[in-house]
Amino acid sequence: MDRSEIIRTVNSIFIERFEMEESDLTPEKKIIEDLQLDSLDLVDMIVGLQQKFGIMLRDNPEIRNVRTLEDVYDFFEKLAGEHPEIADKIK
Amino acid sequence: MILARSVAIYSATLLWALIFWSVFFLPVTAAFLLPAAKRRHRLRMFLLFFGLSTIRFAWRPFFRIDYEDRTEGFEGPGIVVADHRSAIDAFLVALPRRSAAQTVNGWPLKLPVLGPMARAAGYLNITAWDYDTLRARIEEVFSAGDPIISYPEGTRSESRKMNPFHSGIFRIAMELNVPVYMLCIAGNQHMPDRKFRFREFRNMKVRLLGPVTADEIRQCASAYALKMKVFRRMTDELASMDAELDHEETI
Repeated sequence: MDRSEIIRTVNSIFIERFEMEESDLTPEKKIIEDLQLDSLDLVDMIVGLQQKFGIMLRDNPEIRNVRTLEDVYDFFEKLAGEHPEIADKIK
Repeated sequence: MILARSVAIYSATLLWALIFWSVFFLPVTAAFLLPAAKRRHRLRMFLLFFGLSTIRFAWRPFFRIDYEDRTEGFEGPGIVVADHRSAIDAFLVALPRRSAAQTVNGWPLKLPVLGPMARAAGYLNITAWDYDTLRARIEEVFSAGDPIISYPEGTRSESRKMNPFHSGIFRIAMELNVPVYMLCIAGNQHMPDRKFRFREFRNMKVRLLGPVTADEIRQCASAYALKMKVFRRMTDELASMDAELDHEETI
C-alpha cells in the first residue's frame, strides 16, 4: 500500500464525512486549528478511519499524537508497514 | 471616559432592573408556584421582557440597535445560534421576541437575581452537564414550544472574527430534527470588553437569518458539515453587517 493510496483513503473520510473540498486537504493543515474539528468531530474522524481501514484505533496511543493531516498519513503509512493486511481491508 | 461610560450604562441598567423587578415582583413570585414546565416557560417570558425593555428604555440614550428578521416566520422549537462578541449578547438575543432558554457557562448562573431566575427558567449549563443531560434538558425546552439560544464559539470573541464553533449543539439539532436559525450580532465587540468596561458606544446591528431547515440538516453528512455550513453563512453576513456599520459611521 503506497503513500498516495493512504492519502487518498484518509482524504476520502474528510470529504465524505465532513464535506470538505479536496483542495483544502493539504498535508500541513492542522486538524483542530485549520480544519476546525473539535473533540466530538475527532471521535467521528477516528470512527471513520477505523471503518475505512478496518482496524481498531481506540487503544492505539499514537493516534492521539496526530496534529496535522501529514501526521495522519505518516501514522497510517507506518501502520500499513507493520500490518500489510490493512491494504486488503480498505473499504 | 471609559469609566464614565461604564458607570452611566451600568447605572441605567441597574435602575431599570430595580424598576422592572419591583413592578413584576408579585407575578414572578407567583410563577414559582406553578408546575415545573409552566414555571420555566413563564420565567423565560419575564426574562424576555426584561431583555427587551432594557434595550428599549435603559440603553436607548447610549446607542442604537437595528434589528432585522429575515426569516419567513420564526416559530416553534429550534436552535438559534448566535455569534458572541461580548456579554451584552445575553440581552440582544431577546430581539427576536421569543421566550427561549439560553446555553450559558456556569458563571452567569451565579449572578444575583438573574442567576437564580435563569436557573429556575431552565437555562442550560453547558459546563456542568454531560452531553446526554444537556440533550434531555433541551428536549424539555422544545416540548414547551420554546427554542434554545446557543453560542457555539463557547466564549466571547471580543473581535469581528468568530472563534471556531463547537459541534455539540449541531449534533443535537441533527438528533432532534429541529431547524437552526442564525442570529448575527455586529458592532458590539468592545461593549463591554472582557473586563466589562465600555470602551466605546457604537450602534449595533442584529439580524436573524435562516433557518437551515430540518430537511437540509438531514442531508448534512455530519454535525461538522452542518456546523461549517452555519459558520460560513454567519461569517459572510457578519462581514457585510460590519461593512454597513463602518459605512454608516463615515456618513
